[in-house]
Amino acid sequence: MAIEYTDWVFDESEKAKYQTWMDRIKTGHTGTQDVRNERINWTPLNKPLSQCTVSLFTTGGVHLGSDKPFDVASAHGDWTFRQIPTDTDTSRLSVTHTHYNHVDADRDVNCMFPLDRLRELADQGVIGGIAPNAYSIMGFNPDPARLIEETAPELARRFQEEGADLVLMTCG
Amino acid sequence: MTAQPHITGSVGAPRAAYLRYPAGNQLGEAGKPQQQRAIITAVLEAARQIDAPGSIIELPFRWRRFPIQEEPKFSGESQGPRHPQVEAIGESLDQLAGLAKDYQSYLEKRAADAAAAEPPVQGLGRTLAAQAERAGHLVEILDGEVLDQLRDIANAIATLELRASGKFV
Repeated sequence: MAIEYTDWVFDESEKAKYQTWMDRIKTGHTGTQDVRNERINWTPLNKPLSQCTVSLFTTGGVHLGSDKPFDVASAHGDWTFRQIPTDTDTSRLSVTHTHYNHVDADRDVNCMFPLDRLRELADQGVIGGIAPNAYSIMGFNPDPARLIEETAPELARRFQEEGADLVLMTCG
Repeated sequence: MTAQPHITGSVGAPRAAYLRYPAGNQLGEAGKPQQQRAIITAVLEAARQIDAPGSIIELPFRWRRFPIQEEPKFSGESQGPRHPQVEAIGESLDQLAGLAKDYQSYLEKRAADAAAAEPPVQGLGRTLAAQAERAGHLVEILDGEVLDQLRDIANAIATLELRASGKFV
């Protein structure tokens, strides 16, 4: 399938848009920190997709229905993560998040967390395989300190340990 | 994947694909596996193609579904908002974008005819081609910025109202 991609241009007006957004968030949520990467961490993808083990991650608040839901009541957010075995029947997944409209995802989680689609691509040989687990967080974290110090390194370690060449990250 | 490229660009993500779809629909609509498959395939291909750190590419798909929810089935009683104004604007916008595309094609054909005409009318083909390009820009605005504004308004209102209903977790 030939796809026409366009380069998205990060110009001054887009930078200003970020600043406006951040100013608004700081007003609305006490303790908000504007944290950015000082440098871009880059790992080239040197394999064809058909040889890649792909993992899945979302900030959309997905979790096993039987697992502890994310804390959406806290004004400080929730930095914890949930593990989702990638052989899970997607009808067993729930979404706990109050900062985006997940009505569609409640009906069919694949429109935000495409686990069934990824499995089909693995079956067809488009990708090499799927890592044994997918991971999820709930993206509302005004102060991302514990997300950065605890959750992110642990998830990076797991992705590596589980052999992921590529992690598809989706947002909520 | 990102729905907010100005945030993704600002925080320094290594690579991203921007899709002009609502945040909860980054892979498309519910119950439409074919659409979801087209998007996920395009995103994975993009991961292969992006070779410059920090690049954000835009996918060619457009969100055209108004209203933003149909027969919601979530654990609560709220049926969420339905704003007939948004539906009406969305439908009109689709129609406008279609008309603008038709006009662009018409001008392009006129430009090609003028360029091939014997005897040639000096400057006519060039002028028509320039106006066809402007019509293309009109399509881009309708299909991009205007559609984005409508999508974002609809999505923000839906999220707020669902949250306020207390039934949306």
